[in-house]
Amino acid sequence: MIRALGSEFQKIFTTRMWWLLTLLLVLYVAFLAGGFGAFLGWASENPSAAAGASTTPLPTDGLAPLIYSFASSIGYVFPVLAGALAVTTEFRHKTLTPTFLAEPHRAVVLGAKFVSQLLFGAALGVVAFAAAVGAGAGALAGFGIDTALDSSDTWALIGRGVLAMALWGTIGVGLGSLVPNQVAAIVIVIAFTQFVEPILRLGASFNEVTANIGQFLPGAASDALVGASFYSVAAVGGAATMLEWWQGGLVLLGIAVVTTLIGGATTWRRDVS
Amino acid sequence: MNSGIPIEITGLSKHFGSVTAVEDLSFTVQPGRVTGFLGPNGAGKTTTLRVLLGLVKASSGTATFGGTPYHALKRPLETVGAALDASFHPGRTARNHLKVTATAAGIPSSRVPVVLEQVGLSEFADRRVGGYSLGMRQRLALAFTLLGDPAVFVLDEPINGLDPEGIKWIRLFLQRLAQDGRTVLVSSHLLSEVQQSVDDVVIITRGRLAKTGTLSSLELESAPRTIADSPDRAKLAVALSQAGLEYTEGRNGFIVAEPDPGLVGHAAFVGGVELKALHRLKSGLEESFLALVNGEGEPIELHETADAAAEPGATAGAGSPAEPASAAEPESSAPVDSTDIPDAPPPPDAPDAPADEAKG
Repeated sequence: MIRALGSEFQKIFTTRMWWLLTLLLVLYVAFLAGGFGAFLGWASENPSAAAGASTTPLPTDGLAPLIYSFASSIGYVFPVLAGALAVTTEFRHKTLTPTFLAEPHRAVVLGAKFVSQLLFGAALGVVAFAAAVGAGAGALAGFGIDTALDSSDTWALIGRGVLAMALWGTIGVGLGSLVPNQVAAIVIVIAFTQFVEPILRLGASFNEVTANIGQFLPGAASDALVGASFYSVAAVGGAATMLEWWQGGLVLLGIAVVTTLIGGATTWRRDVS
Repeated sequence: MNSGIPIEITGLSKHFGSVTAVEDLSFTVQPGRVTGFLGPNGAGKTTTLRVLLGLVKASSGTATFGGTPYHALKRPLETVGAALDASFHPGRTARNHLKVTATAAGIPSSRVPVVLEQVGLSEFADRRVGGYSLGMRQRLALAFTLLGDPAVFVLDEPINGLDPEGIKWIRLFLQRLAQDGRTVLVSSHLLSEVQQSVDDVVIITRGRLAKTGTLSSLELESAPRTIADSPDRAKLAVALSQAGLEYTEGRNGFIVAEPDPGLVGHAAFVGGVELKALHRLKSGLEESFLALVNGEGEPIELHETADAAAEPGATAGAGSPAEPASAAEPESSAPVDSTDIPDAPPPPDAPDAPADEAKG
């Protein structure tokens, strides 16, 4: 298992995909966290201009964690992609042949992918939060808003966010093993994370019953785990109920394990030709 | 290297849905010899090899290395070196491909530069494989097989895509492996491609075993014949008939069912016919192969053309620059460093040049 794990890490870092994903993640998160931070900072100083007729000043408490959580609430698509690519690339380039020749026990290979993407996802999480905190805190500090970086709660949130990113990496492995076609897997990741789930979450939040179901959507579970999210603020009427953070974590882990097990028992066991 | 491991295929069948790829196939590949695994495209060679390597599940039967299936080998890459379709991630360098594999198999990474040197790829080791020619990828696939210094080699169409230099090199490479006492199984759809390298042949067609034995036993299956031609074929035909010789007419003359050209010449002399060609049909290998593969004799035109094409050419493997090679592909990059490629000795048992093009 140690060998297979080492091999999987070498696979990650011997093509250009890893730094491409990392670079995009950093730029994306930094842009949104910094931009949103700057906008809120400006809005809190000019409430009348920002909110039209309303003269209530925006609350600036709790703003910082929300902005930092962009790292996972927006950036989670990157570890999913990394995980899905780690599996689908082997199908696409037919590298399953050398992989299975070197390690004929296929479950070991899939397990190594699961663990390596857990760790790579965590690394992406660290990078993403560094970008979000760097850009977000910079922007907030520029407007004199509390960056909350001296609060242990903030750091706990960041820790949970890194865990969420790690779990998303394993969900990617599960998805990739279920959908070995690389293009299909990428389309599913993008479509689900960017369109399907946000719409479902928003729709579910209109009603108590659906809201209870909606909280088990992976993105909602992830936000529950992290503890702050753009979506939970944006949800209509605040009807979006949230799981406990550890429940959110278990939901993510459950999705990852179940999809990987199903993929491992189906596509992963097929003839390699 | 633990030598002396035979490959044992017993009652192997593989069905893909309703399609039968391999049907009740049994043969053994002995150590210390190069065995050619031959058959036309689609005969089931690759499927058999993939079952043997645990990549495809058999419908029934077994395929083992001295009794142990691939997945049960303790250290698979140090027992079996396999080159299948030479597919690699285009964005990864050759060196990194080998490192990834070495790590997974628990082979020290110090082996990587050694095997790269062995196949003559050191110079290109840090280039992404996406820029490799087919011949270079074939060499990388061979480097992969050498990583664990295994006792058994399983190579699927390794000559495909090699340039003449590469073909010469791999022939020697295979012979050396066998001399070390290793088991070497090489598949090809062209007998002529491997006939200078192999000691034994296993021939399959439509998923079934057609023939297994030594290369020379294949040669014996077809009786030697003589080719004779005359400016006046009608007269020659009469002369041959009068001498009681059986013959068929081919493009380049009559193929006479008589091994001794002297007797055919005598028949012509007796009949007063001028001859413009008289020689022994040297190799029956190709026609035996085709006969086995097709289940019956191939139209006579085929092997005769093969023989004729072989006449003027230099023997392949002698490395003449004009040497024709069907699989040759122009290499875009500089020729592979040849310092470690020993000069090929003229193969002792190669009186006939293979004429790949002739078979179509």
